[in-house]
Amino acid sequence: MSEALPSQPCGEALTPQPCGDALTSQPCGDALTSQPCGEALPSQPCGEALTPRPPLPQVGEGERDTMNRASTTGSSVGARFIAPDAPTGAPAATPDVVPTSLTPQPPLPLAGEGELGGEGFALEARGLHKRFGRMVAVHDFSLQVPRGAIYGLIGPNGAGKTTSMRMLATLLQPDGGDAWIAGASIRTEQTEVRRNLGYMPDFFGTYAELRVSEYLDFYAACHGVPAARRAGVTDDLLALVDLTHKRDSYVEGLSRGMQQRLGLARALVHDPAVIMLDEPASGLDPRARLELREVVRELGRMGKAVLVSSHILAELADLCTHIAIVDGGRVLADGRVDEVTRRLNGGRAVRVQVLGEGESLRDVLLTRPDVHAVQLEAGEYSAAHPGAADEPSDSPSAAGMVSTGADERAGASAGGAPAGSGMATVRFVLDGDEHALRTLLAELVAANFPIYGFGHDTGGLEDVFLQVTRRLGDTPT
Amino acid sequence: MTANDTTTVAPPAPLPPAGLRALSPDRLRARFANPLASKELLARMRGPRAYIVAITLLLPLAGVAGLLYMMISSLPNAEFASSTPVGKLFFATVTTVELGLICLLAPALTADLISGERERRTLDLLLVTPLSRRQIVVGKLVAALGSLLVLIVLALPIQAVAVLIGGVGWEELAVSLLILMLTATTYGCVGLYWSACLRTTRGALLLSYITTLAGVGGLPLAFMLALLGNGLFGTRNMDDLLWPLAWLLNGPQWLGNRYSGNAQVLNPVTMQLEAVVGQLLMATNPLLTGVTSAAGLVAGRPVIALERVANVELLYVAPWLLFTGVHLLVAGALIWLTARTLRRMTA
Repeated sequence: MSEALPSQPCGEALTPQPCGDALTSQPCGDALTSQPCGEALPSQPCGEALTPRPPLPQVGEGERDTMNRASTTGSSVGARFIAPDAPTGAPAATPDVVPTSLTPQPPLPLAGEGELGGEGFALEARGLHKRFGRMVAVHDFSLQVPRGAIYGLIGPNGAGKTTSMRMLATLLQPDGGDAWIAGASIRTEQTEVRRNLGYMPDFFGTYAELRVSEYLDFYAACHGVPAARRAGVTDDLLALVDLTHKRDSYVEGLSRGMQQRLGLARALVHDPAVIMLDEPASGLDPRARLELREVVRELGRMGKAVLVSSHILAELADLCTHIAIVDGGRVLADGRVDEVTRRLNGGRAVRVQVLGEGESLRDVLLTRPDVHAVQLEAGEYSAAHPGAADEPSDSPSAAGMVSTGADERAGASAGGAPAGSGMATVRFVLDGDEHALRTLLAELVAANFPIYGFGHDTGGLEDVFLQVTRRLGDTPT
Repeated sequence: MTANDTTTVAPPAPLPPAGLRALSPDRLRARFANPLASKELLARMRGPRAYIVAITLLLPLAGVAGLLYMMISSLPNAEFASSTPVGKLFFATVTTVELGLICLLAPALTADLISGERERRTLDLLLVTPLSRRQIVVGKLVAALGSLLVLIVLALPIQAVAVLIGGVGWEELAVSLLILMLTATTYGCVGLYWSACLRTTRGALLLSYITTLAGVGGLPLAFMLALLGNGLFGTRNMDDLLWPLAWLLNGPQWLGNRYSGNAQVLNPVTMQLEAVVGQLLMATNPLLTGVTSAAGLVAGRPVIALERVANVELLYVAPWLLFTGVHLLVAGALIWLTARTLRRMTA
């Protein structure tokens, strides 16, 4: 499978195929099923559907089998998080790096369950408000994070992400509103919140005089983890973030990426139900980012609720199950990724990958009344058109899709469908829900289109983000 | 409960009643163990800081003591060399030098406790743990001051040379130890408080030293200036105002003799008030407390007594006892204030 070439719209060269890419990816749920990725049981994790995928060419043939487990990233880097002693050939459905100190399904003492509408969100914020002097930093910030969700908080710098997170982490008292973490109010039950929350700030220091294992042991002790269990917790977490070999090094000597991973391990020492990561990837090189991302994914698989912020959309695009777009201190759009995209596009962004030139597919789609903004990107993977691989659907063409909302062929002009055998990607926006999507897929398959990929188009996030933040600029707050 | 409870891997024994459970070692450890204190101690012992602190305190002290001892032993009259005033002089000098060093060290050890965490960007990580603000403050303080308090005990043999020379008893030694430790604790708390209030360690250190200087040197300086002014301008008022110091130093008889002729000069109520204020004021200062405590011990005055001064019954409380009370109170208040500052920080 040669799919791992930089075909993704998200900017990361080595990013994996997003969920729901292939027809076979049943459990992924982004496009084909109504089962949301994050809310699914950890036994059917997002991204696992593509396994077993053979190691990529750049991965040495002699690499261990467990490498396959990391195939969600399609790179050798992700495999570094696999515990060395992981059973080879383990069924992909059971994450084999789950440390025993982290409970896969955290018991959430949802005290305010009734109050939270019975759905038992891992984290819920209602109308949080914070001002510094005359500057309103956060205004009416509301959010609902279900268990198991990886919730992306996206917004430009100064949008109020960090302030919101600090309020949620009980480091800042809100001026108005309230929030509940695992059912505990951040206003009145702060100790309970701190017990259930793992928080990694955007910038944090370490104690230079401590060794890596002592560092984790210390925070575990601060969180009241019994002394007898601490050594085990430390070992598990070091394995999870792949720092076992640095166990006895001084924290001072770790690289930035390693310190960031250690910081993440620190946030997990008490097995929190909710994890908040504020700009976890800032200042990391691409490799470290991938590693971090893999750990976050793993946490989602364990059923933890992860709230992760970034001002770089590409970082979150294919990681998150849910997304909230924040600007000017308020949540502008939030929900499942595809829902947000659909809501803002007036439909569901879909990507179909087809063998052949794809023009006939495009023509068929253009005749349908419920399909808009059809774009054809041709020859992405075709050896006959190597240059075309450099033309991922980045924002210019995609933005055209959003702004016109009509049957514009802006994207198609760039590639030009190759004659003869090749591969093409058709992007479009479909009115309707999962059922409409399913019907469309059935029809297309019945019509014998050589479709090999059909799924939710995460590349649309970039447009959504631009669209939403632009809209905010137009309307006075 | 079986005897070899701890060695078995058997299923857990039935829980003891709730009252006993609260007293179980695990519970007690969970209640009183402070992970911050252990970690800080570990970190402090690792760096060069522990050695620097030890050297800063012990080396000058040993140097001064050695010098004094050499001077004393070179005195021509051997009998005089082992006499009371020489021993007292030795003791007073060594203890004063030690007090000065402690005033130098204590704020330096604590002025970075909170601001240092802030500067290192580790404070937030502590504040999101379920540790209470007071636990954080106390844990850090215990680790910072613990080493200094141990050093004060270690310096005891140097002071104890005075006992060998003569003229100084074990009580004086014990009282001086108490005063030194309380001074270290209190001015350590001052540093802690400023480190929570100020953004930078440098600012906290500066304010801590100013506070320490005022606290330790202020009152003796004021007294000296007052006496000097009295000597220069002969204002009797000043003398009258300073009578509590004379009372504490010289005992009630001396003062009684002085005022026996004109008892009306001093109003009994004013005298009571001045006695209380004077004693409390003295108790805020380690130097004055040291001197007056030593005088009291030498004169064999009881710890608490009613003394008749110029026909007025005054309550005498041993200066070191008042000093202990005042300093424990101040240290406690500063810890509370620091914890409150930390709480407010997240508001």
